[in-house]
Amino acid sequence: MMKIFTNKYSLLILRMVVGFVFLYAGTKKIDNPMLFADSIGNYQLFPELSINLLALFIPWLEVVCGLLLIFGIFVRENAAILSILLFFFTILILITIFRGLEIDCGCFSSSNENQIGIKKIVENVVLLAFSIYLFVYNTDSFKLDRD
Amino acid sequence: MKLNYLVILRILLITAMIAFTFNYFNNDGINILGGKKKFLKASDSLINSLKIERLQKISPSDSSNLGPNKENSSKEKISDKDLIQSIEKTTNESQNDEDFFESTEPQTIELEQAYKLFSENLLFVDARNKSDYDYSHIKNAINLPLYQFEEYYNTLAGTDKNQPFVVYCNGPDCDMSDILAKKLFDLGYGKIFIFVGGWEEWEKAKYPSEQVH
Repeated sequence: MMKIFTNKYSLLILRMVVGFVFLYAGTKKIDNPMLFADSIGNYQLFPELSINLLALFIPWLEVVCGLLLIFGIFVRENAAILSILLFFFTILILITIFRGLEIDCGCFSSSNENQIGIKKIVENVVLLAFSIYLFVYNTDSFKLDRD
Repeated sequence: MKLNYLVILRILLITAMIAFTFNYFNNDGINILGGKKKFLKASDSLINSLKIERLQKISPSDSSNLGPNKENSSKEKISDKDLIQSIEKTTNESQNDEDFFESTEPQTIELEQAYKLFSENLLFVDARNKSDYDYSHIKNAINLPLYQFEEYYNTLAGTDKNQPFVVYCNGPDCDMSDILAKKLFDLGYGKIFIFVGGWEEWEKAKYPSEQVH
């Protein structure tokens, strides 16, 4: 059974999936920083000063890590960064649902499918699982760097 | 599990550098320390010039419709001349209009200017979500919720990209009008006004509104 999971091909596929998801999400946000800053503000959880900094930094982190993952560079480290990111996103969504705020997630820039809800949490958790998995089962195949 | 923390640190630092550099050179970039992007205020003369342009646009067709539809050649010639003259007038006026509209981004307007434009039957676009719009909105405004942009974008489908219109949302604290205006501007709608006071101010002034039932 474990063979399926540690198979280097499934790892490759996972890397691609996670990498492209973040690459896509990141570039959409870089495209419209004001919109993303607005989305962060909607959560009403962050101090004013930090919102713009976050709106600036996070999309690029997503793009950089996504790209590095796709090319198989520093997979473990990137998986760690993205796992932590996803972990915080999930907590964020949970808190928001608890508070009863009905807001747009801001995950992929303005779009109706991104309302905060169970579906979003599931998506996040799945991505989180993938990232943790990549972190744990790092292999040497299909990578561009040497260990 | 071994994890190279130095690598993580380097990734974070390099990402930060890329982000700040990109933002610095980006026209759409945001202010690091917060604060919204300030748009220029529209001058009253600009608002008034729009009035003139609309009146001019009406006159050519009016003058061509006024003359009786006889096969009188001399009368036809005169009406043609008039037509040409009034078309020239319109083009000249719109050239002036181009000069006025040299600004490269949407402009903000205040309550009175908004009301003037409202009286000219300019298109008003409500950037708030559907439930807010349904509850109450500026009379004759259309709804283009910022957060459902793709769904509602076709409501602007028939609109000439050269036609000026006004975008608004809740009020001064609301960003959606700014963001929507910028988004539409990038899509080619060159003449956008942002009514900063928004729905709050309009309602307070008890200007015309309507609801969706």
